[in-house]
Amino acid sequence: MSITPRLCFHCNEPIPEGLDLSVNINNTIQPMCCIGCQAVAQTIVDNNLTQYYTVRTEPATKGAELVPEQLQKNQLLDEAVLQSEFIYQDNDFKEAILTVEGISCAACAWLIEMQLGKLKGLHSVSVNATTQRATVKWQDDTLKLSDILNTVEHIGYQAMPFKANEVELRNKAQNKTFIKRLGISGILMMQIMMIAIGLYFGAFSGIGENNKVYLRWISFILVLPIVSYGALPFYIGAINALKIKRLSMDVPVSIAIILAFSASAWATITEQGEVYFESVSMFTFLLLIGKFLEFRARSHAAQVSANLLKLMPMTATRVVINESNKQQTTSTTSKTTNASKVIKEELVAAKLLIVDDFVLIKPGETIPADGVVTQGSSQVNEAMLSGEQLPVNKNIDDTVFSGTINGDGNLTVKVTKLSNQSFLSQLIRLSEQSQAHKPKLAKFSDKVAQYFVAIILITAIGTALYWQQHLPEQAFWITLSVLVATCPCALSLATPTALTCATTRLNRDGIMIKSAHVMETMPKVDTFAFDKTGTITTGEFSINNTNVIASENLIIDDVLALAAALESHSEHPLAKPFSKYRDFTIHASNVEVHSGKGVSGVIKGKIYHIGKPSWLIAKLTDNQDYLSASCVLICEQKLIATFNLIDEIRPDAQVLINNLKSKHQIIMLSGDSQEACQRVAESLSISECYGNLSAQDKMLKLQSIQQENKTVAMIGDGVNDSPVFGAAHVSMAMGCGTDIAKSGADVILLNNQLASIHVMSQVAIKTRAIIFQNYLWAFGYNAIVLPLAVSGNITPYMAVIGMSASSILVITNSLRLLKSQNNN
Amino acid sequence: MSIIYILIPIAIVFTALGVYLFFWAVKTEQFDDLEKQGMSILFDDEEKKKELTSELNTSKGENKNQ
Repeated sequence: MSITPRLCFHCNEPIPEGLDLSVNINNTIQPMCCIGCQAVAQTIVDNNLTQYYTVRTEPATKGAELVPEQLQKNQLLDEAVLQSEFIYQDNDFKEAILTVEGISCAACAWLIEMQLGKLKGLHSVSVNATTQRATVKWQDDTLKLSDILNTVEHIGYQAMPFKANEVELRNKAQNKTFIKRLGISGILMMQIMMIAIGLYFGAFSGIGENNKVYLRWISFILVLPIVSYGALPFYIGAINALKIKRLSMDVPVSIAIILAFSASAWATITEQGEVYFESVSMFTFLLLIGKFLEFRARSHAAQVSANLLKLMPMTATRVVINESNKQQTTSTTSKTTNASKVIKEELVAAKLLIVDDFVLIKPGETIPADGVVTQGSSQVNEAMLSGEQLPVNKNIDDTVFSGTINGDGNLTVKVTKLSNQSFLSQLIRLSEQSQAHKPKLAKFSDKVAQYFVAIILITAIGTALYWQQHLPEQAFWITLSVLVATCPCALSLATPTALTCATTRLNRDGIMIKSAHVMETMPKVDTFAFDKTGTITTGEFSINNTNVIASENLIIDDVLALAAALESHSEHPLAKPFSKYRDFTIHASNVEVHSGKGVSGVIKGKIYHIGKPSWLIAKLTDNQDYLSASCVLICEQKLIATFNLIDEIRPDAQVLINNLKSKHQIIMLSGDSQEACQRVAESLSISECYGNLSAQDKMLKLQSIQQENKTVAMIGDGVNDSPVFGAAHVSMAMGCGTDIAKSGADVILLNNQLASIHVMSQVAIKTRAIIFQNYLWAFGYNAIVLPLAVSGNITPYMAVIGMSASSILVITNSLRLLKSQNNN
Repeated sequence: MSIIYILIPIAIVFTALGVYLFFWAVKTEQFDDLEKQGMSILFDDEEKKKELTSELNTSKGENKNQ
């Protein structure tokens, strides 16, 4: 295309044409792409923190312009009622955890710590770059929480208070005990191994009986903490499984550890037979590593997804009305409400709103509560609740729902429902209910464990009976060696290592796996159900076709730049696609936004109108042919261009559908009109598409498909998808979707790319193959070693070598999953 | 070989010390963020920086000669 554009020094994004912003960093003038980046970079320079630029390994995120309203909203967080949810009070100090958006490398953590450290009244700050969280402690009488948040915002990050949920707190504690168990098992295992080498040499070249007994006792003492403390999670897992009359992999593991340890202890005390202390310790250590890595991959995914859920309270501008007038307004005829009665506007938290409160909703704001419009008219984007793409017109007496986004008009709304009874909360409850009945497929490893336990126990009993008759004094030791040699080490590592590697590999691509079952369920999925708005489409419009009518030396680029200059003043979804054509040398003055119609303004002395054809063309009788266009541009009463806007389908949607279509059934479930769905479905050649579905309809539809013995994966983004997520076997939410959808989903596609679904499905299939290979080897090894053990030819060192070798083989095989293969 | 009767107990004492220190490190959350700690060496400490500037300036000439 054209010459490569200049890149912003701060965020590395291209700089729009005609814009000249720069900051002097370390005596070099560096270009900036927007006012936001410039402000952030300037703050960094002013505070002598330019080291950040030399050390950072990733470019910063694009600096957002600071909006006074946002800073004002932060002040709400100083209120004690709201703070009680996430703040820990310690005498004069308050402590809170903040999630910080925009941390891209460890240098960011340093930057935030340095900047916050300068605040007066701040006791301590510690930023964790891995979890993207900051723990701050401050003195409340000298510093406000909002000041802390604003300071972070000034250097280009968004901080939000955060409350770790139950699961996460448990994960954190569990993580610590896991590291402790690993540490103690690792350190002691090394000592035991060292002593074991001495015993092995003794076995070959002779060792004094005293020394042998001494070394055995030492090993016995050293192995005690491993068996009692290190291996505790396995016993707990085994007991839990047995309680519900099931066999999990923990059962044979626990049996092996306990039996091998007790027999070796018996051998030590009675000074006869063989000891297997080194096997026991290594076995425990290896399995702990496997369990720990699996746990960490999962808790990391949980952490990242928890960061996505912001605790920023929804705010509302409450209109306080004069006491005497309130009597009238509470009566059912709300039309009598008038702006003249308003005496004060105040910013409050949405959950503090009560029925019959009046709230003012400005353009672009989220509607804080369910209610009825009493004044004004606007267009409201309800896509998140209903899946409908186009904004819905709201006039006086129309109902609006909490969580939807106001378009370009001012609205006054009378609250009709408390926040916990709103339509939004009802949907959340519905999704929680369906989550509780989520269909589950049996875990493969548990099935394997059942057979394994049976085989080993039968063989051990057989061996014991046989040798009891032929060599009674050796029978016990041979039976023990059977149990030790067939320790399911490689077998128990087969699944967790493969799952961990697959999860890590997918995380790298921006695919967060939240539930453990996903990788096992994915290959069985035969039906993919997609939501339309926001999932298959971006939820935004794009300019499909620009038609220049008046040919006064105007080319398409000029027309688009003119349109963009006008549309930049509008919040309407149809105005957004123009923003990328913005040329900063063209400015519009006297701009007027006509709600639901369009925009008018003066550019270079000429009056321009852009907007709905029905609004503009009605004035121009000669141009009736262009009524079908989505948007028209008029200059001084003369039509100069028409634009055709379409619901933008994600660029990778077609590739994904083509990839999936050969082996899977594909359906589309949407809340948008059947006609709009049909259009998208046809362009992507999806055969089954269902429109006009409410959240509950979607769930019922999916359940009826499941009754035909189908395994279904659901991909969506809106609140209206959350109930269906609970019903689906695997649910995936787009990273740009709503918090509620993301918290209910099994997988979050952080990269917002549909192609990830195909990648995931490929990785899942490969993971299944790797797990299968791992099991094959683990069983193969046991099959080789079992006859040797049964015939009494296994010595302790052979058991250790065989066990570690097969474990390493299994781990290496699993590591192959980490390699990302790009086949497309 | 009787030396092992003394050496191994000593080794166990050291091991116990190692385990204790490890537990302390876990308790003080030193394993929480492995990324940031690795990076921290690249940043100058604010306070030390001022003290060291004068020293650095004098030693700079020597460094260039080396």
